[in-house]
Amino acid sequence: MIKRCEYIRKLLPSLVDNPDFGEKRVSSHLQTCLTCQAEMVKYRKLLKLLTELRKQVPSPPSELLIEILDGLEEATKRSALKSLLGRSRVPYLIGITVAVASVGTFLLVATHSRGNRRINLIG
Amino acid sequence: MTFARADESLNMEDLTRLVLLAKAGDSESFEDVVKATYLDAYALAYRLTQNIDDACDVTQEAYFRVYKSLKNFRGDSSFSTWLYRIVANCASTHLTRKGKRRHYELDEQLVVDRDDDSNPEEKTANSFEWDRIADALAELPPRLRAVVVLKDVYDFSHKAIAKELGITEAATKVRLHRARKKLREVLFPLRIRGGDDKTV
Repeated sequence: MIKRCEYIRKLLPSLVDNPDFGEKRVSSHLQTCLTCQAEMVKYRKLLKLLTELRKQVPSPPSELLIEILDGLEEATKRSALKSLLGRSRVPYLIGITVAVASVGTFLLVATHSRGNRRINLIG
Repeated sequence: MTFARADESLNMEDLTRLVLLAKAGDSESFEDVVKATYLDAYALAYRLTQNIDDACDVTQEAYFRVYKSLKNFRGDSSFSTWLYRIVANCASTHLTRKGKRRHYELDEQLVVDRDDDSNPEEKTANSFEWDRIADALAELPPRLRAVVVLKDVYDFSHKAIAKELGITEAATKVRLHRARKKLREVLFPLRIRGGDDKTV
């Protein structure tokens, strides 16, 4: 009997919230053994206390809410700035592309007309 | 330790309405959501970290993540459950980053009074010293504490715990077993006549 008690006590922490008590021999032992029943009661009490602990909320420092809201405001500003930059990126890139293309065209035309002038001089 | 009641917050319907407005981009509603839920978020962060500064950092980080990913909140679970999962994940990351093992603060609220001669078994649940449970939880290694807090206090499933802590479901079951056993030993020690308290 003592050996079985030892075996069952080892299982109790996992069995306490299991209504089937796992194996049949475990449940039948628990029905007859007062020592193991007492042990099970302790685990049930423990679970009850832990469940009730959720209602007990430790008071946070008084400045926590302000810190959270300030942090979020900063994040909001950062995100707004990022999205603004993101939106203005497209016209900005188009502007650069147009500028580069214009300069390129100008250089191409200039090079081409200089070449023609040389040909004319030689001719 | 002083306690604020958790049930002072908004009811579920009001909170859901605010979350929807916040999701649509209403910053005032988001602020109201924070005001309504931050005590609970802090409570979980504190239970997991057992340190006021760490709990504040974790809570702030959690709301930052909530803000960033609120658009992805589908409402499959309640907002509170979603928030708790984020807090749990942030706490796990925070503790891993800090490489904490056991954490003892000088703050007297976390000091366990080992000379207390009272027998907790004789006390009813209502008059039980909550500090004693908090102290017993604080005594647990963080990896065991995280699982027992999430499962037995916050009613997470093993699957959710495994996901948020980055471990297997089998590992959460083993850790829960060990954590409960340790808590039982600390909170309900076996009295042996003529000797010190011993645990079974």
